[in-house]
Amino acid sequence: MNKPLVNVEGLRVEFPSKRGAIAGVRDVSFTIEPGEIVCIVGESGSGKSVSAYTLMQLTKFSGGWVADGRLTLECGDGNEIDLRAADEARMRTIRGNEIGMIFQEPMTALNPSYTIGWQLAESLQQHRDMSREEAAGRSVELLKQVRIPEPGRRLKQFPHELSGGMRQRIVIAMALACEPRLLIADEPTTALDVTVQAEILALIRKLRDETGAAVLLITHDMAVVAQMADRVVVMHDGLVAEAGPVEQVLTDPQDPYTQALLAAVPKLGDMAGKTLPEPMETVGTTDCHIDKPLQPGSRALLDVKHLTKRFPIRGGWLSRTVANAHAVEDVTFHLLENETLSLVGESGSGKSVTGLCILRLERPDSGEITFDGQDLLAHSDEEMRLARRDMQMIFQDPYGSLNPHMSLLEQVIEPLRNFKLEAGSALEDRAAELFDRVRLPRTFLRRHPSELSGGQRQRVAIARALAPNPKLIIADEAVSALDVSIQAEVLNLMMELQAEMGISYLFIGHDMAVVERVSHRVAVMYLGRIVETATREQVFANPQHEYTKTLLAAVPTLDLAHRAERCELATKPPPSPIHPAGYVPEPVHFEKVAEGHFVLRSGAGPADERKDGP
Amino acid sequence: MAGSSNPAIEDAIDPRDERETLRDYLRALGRDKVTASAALFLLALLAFTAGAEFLAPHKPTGLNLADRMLPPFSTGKKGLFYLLGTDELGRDLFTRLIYGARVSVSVGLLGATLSCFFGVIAGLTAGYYGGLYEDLVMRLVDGMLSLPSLLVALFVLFILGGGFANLILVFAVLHWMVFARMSRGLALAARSKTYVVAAKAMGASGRRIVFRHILPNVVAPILVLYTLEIAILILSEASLSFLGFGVQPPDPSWGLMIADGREHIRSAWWLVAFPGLAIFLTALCLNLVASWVRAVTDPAQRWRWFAIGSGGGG
Repeated sequence: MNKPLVNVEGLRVEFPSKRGAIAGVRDVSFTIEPGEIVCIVGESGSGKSVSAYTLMQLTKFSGGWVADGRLTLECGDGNEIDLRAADEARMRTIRGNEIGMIFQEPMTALNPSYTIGWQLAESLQQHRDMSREEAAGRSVELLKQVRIPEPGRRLKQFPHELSGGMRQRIVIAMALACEPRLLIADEPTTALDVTVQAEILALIRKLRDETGAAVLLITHDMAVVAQMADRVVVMHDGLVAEAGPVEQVLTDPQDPYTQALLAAVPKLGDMAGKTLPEPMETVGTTDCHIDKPLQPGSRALLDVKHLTKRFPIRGGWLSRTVANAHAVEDVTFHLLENETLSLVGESGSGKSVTGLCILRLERPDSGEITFDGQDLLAHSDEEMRLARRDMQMIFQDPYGSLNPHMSLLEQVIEPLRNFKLEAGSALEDRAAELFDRVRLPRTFLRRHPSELSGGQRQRVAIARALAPNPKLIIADEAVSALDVSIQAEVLNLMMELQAEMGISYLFIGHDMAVVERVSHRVAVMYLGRIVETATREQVFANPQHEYTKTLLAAVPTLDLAHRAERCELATKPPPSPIHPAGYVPEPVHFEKVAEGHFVLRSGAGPADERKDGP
Repeated sequence: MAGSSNPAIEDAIDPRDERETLRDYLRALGRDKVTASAALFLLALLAFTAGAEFLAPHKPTGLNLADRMLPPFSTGKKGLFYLLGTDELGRDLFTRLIYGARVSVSVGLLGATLSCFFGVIAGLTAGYYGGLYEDLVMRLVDGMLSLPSLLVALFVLFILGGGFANLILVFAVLHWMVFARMSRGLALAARSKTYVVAAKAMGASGRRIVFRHILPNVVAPILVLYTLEIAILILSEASLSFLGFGVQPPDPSWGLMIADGREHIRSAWWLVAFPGLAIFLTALCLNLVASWVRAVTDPAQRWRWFAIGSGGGG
């Protein structure tokens, strides 16, 4: 190789704080060769995004500034640009032209008020001085390049008319519009479903091969690194912990932090041959004490029968119901005492709505829910409020589920107060006890959520759920938003609490490797229906339904030998659970494959719908 | 995810920071020159209102026909100095502004506070509970908003008689709808927030969710509307006083002063300009201070105001 495309040396980025400037990133150096995929991997707060954003001088928009270091970019014309010294006008020609950017959230990176065609043409007309016709022609070309079917029609559509995966492809097309020599992708697949993630990653690799653009991929996910990277930069606490070719870093990590990070990634198949869930091995922290096996009881705690929830879609004259979104359709399952049942599925599968229906935070249309001998749907609102004492919920996003204006103390004692379980100073004692339980320092009780990291917040959410000593905890994607090392700790904590207090979990998730770790039984949901239900072992060793197999195949692995070189790109929009008003769904029929293993053989057939297209 | 979308902020927060002290607040205010001046203006206004008897240079109703219609910075026949000039009866404009502030500021504050109180309760509960109750409240709001408020005010004040207390009552009745409509929208948006769903899952009652969980999170926009309403009410008071149903002359109020000065606007611009400026400045400063208070009390935002370094305080 001759000169590298990007050269970063001794980068130091500082941010203002109450005690003066603090360094977000210190002494960071890396290079990107033309046509190379470099992954910066690290957890939140490690400085990985800051390092990449500095290349486009985007850090200053969040108050930071480059205090030291050298940043150069080799331009298309052979000149070298000093990215640190470039003025705003120069940067505008670099952004988009030399460096393209792919953002995390395809929902928010596109302007909802303009058509796809308008947004694509905008940058072409700006940077390339194209006429409107030329820009439209180039837009179609770009959409073809990112494998979007019927590109001509897409140009006239608005972002909300497209699925998340399609939208992310549009964002990629926009980044490619001016043929940049470097693409910066900031967690491009974090907000997407696993099956879509595999597609997008494959697409980025393909585009790299076709256009020769180098890619700087920012991610927290080691599996994404294994799938994508040529070289890896591992960041921790604003410093580079380790850097090198991907084979070397993944198979023979030298830095203890890299080792811990790799150990914390749950791997599919780790639990093969084991009947009960087990805590994860974490390097360095041995704070998980489970002394007895997680054996479920024999009495059913929760029994859900034929649960159905449809959201009416109103329209037309006098806003009649013109269609129904069949969020949950004839779902039946049960949960034993001290057992973990995982509801698995991708977004829109109805798994979260099922959880909300059980707590009656959404009112089901029909069905039966029996919890601990009580018929929940027969309860009055006040009886239901009291029944929630025994059934608590942990939500996915610890940034959203904690009230930003309440101190943590108040939030943790909230259920105690509402159910009148404690009063006066006993409230604070109990809060302190709960914080000990989830291993948060008691001094945190006076803080507000914004002063905590994501993992700490989720611990608060768990402490709060534990406060009334519930029998059932519904964990809705409770670890999906967390960094892997924290995810492992939180999962271990949940299992530890189960062993100790006999809690049952309804674990709602999409990450098959995590699900394999924690569950006794698994129910796979697709388009509002359970398509397969079985013990953990049966699902992972012998998946029967097409959709379960797709889901398992899409899980990215750390295995370098199995890089997804060829992943078929879906060209049809995913099938929708929205049906016209009079639609009567086919009755469900389950086939018994083995003892406790049932597969849906009628009604849905959804996995077949996915397969059409080239 | 909220946290990773702005990595820089994540990096810059030092979670070990201790609580801010009063000194931190004052220092943050000192760095923000515009807000600091606004706060000083409001403090001065309060001081003048409270101590009008001692601080005003002249008597508010003291006629001095010899010194009629003097422009600002003039000295009268008897050597009296008039900072902002005099009106058509020779009364000192500055003194009347100070006394007028009493009526105007208290009508504005009390009227806005009362209508805010009722409007926010009605709006938040309507937005959270929904259903028939929401329909009833919001149709009432629509109905009352379509009434010509000045006419209704005139009618009611005609029956009840003018004066300070009745004025405030009428304002509360005619202005709560604005707050109700806004709060309802805010409650609707907040209702689907995860922390509200979480509160419900934790067994919080409806009332507790509305006032303990939703209200603190929607205070910011309500506060902005509140400061705007104060200015609007000061002006409404002016119209009503002008028509003879508000404060009775010769007691001064800013609105009454504008109304009186209107007929002399060609010859004596200061009679309208200074009361108008007083209303404008009061509203502006209230707004500035309110938005600053909102920002520094927002747990997720306030670090910016206490951060030391390049250009904190954004």
